[in-house]
Amino acid sequence: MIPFDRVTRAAWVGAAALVLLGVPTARAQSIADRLRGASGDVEIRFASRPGVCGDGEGSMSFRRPERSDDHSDWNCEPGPVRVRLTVHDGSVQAIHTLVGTRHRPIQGLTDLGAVGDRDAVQYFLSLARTADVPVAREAVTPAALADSSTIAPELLALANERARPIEVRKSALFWAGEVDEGDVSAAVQRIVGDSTDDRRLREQAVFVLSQLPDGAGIPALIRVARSSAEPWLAAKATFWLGQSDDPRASQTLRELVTNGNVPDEVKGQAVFVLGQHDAPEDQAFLRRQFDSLGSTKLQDRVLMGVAQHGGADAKAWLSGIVTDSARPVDLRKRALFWWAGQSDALTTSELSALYDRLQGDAMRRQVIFVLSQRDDSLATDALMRIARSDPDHDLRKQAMFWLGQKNDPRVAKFLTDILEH
Amino acid sequence: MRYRHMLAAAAAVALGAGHAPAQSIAQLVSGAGDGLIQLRFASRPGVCGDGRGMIAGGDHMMLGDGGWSDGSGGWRRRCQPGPVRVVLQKTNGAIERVSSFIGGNDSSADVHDLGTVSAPEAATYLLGLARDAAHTVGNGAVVGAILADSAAPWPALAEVARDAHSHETRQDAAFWLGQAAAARIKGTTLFGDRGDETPSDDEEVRGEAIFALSQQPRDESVPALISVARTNRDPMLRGKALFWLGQSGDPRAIDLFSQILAGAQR
Repeated sequence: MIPFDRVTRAAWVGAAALVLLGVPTARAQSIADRLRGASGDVEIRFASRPGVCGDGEGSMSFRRPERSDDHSDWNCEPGPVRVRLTVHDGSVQAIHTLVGTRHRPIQGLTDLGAVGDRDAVQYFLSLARTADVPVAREAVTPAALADSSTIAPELLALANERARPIEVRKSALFWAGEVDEGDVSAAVQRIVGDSTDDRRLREQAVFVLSQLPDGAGIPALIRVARSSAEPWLAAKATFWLGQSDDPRASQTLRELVTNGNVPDEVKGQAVFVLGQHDAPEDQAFLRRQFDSLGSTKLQDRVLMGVAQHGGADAKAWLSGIVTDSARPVDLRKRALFWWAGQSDALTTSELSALYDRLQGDAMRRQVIFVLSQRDDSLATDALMRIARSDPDHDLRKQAMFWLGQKNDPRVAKFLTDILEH
Repeated sequence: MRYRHMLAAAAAVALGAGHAPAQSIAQLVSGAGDGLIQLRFASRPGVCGDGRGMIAGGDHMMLGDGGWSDGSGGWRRRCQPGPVRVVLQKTNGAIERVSSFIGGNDSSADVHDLGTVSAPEAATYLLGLARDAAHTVGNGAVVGAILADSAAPWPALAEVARDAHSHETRQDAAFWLGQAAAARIKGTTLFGDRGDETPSDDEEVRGEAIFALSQQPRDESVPALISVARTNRDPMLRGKALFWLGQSGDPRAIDLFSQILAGAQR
């Protein structure tokens, strides 16, 4: 009998030998070898890079921030990467990438077991470089998620391969930014600035800049937004700057709004994204700039942003515009349209009272229209009041017309009464 | 000019009615081969057309096959009185399309011209066609029937409004019944009088109320509109209520139209 310590020792040695022998064996039979001649659905799995997690079914996350307030039921399990391949006579027809171990059993799925992550990277990169679009595009993801590899340079190289389909190039560029293997902003910037390349790839490059960790792409985005000779590109950069919390971004957006040399397309984007910001100083800034914007389109974006943001300051400002008879009626109507579009910002009772305060048919017509678009019974009350007693018969007619569109049982009786008396 | 046309039309009716007493229109059409079959009959007073698709009279203007309007009122100059001209398209023995015109002529070699026929007979024949056929037949047939002079097609038109095979044809028939009923309420004729009176502000508001009522759910709007049509003191408002009832195609509206038009001679 072999003493226990020898057994243990032998077992360890055996395990070590297995590791030493086993890994080369798996490598010797590459993924391509395993799939050769296969048909049907097969699955392989390999280790994922740090920060990758998933629910085993189809949802996955990468570089997910640790949040103590995340009480969602989603249980994000860190790896492994599991790739299901639909194979026909050894040729891959479809790829579906999952992360995590939990999953429902799939009938007819052949488990080919674990493979080396470097083998996986090379295999899927090879598919991305050579296969047709759906497979090539989907092959980029598992390559990027695999552990123990430096892949960004190869992904960038693939993104720059003009002969490859745009979907593949875009996917490669996206993952080059996501894998966080060092600053790729310079390489991505080159793509952004290359006017000879596909516009779709350049748009993707702008997006990738916005997603780089630690705001690494913000300076480049600022440069593009401020100084690109292509307004569409500058507008894209502006949009993505607007999605950033970086203070440099907000500052740049304001400069774009006030700079008279900035094309309207870019300025419009800056106004729009600032309008979506909750920061009171951004809202106040837009209200201050409103009169100097000049263009109806730009002013509409401010009206929309301020109205959506709401709050006492927004209400006072919008009310001031709507009731200011010195302003053009068209502008006042648009302000009312955006303001009243937020029913919690302007209640139906307030709207009804506003009708009585407003001077002039055009503004009152606009109030009637806004009332017609509201579903609450107070809006019907207000329309019936106008239809019955407004001294202007055209306004009464308009209120009557919109009452006809209301689905309120009181309306038919009201109309019948009007006709009988 | 207009008088001469009307005289000519009257003469044609007199001649036509005397020519084919033995054979009904259905028999004449049946005897004709496949292709286009044209027949004429006298039109109601006040009706005019351009010989193609445009037909007008009173407050009505229709743009059918080939009809057009430049929107400048120039159509009034082109709109001339004349007999109703109906062209039937027959294929494999079945009527597949009916087009109605005022005036004009299709003198193509492949047109089988039945000449002039009795207007009341034509109305009866056309409404018979409209009942069972597709809307490509029903549309032109209903128009031809309500244009026919000396005809009171209302009971037959009410049957079409209730029972026609095609939903669109039922809608067309209900519309014209409503128009005829409104004309009767107002003491006017279907095509002879134009509503030139300017409504007062109050009438305009009430007219809008009738439209608004028509937009309400049918179970509420139809009884309310029927009540207005029956009892309101203002004939203009009653006429508007009848118009919207005609648009509804509701059986209760058809009953009301039939009651209003009962005993009407034209």
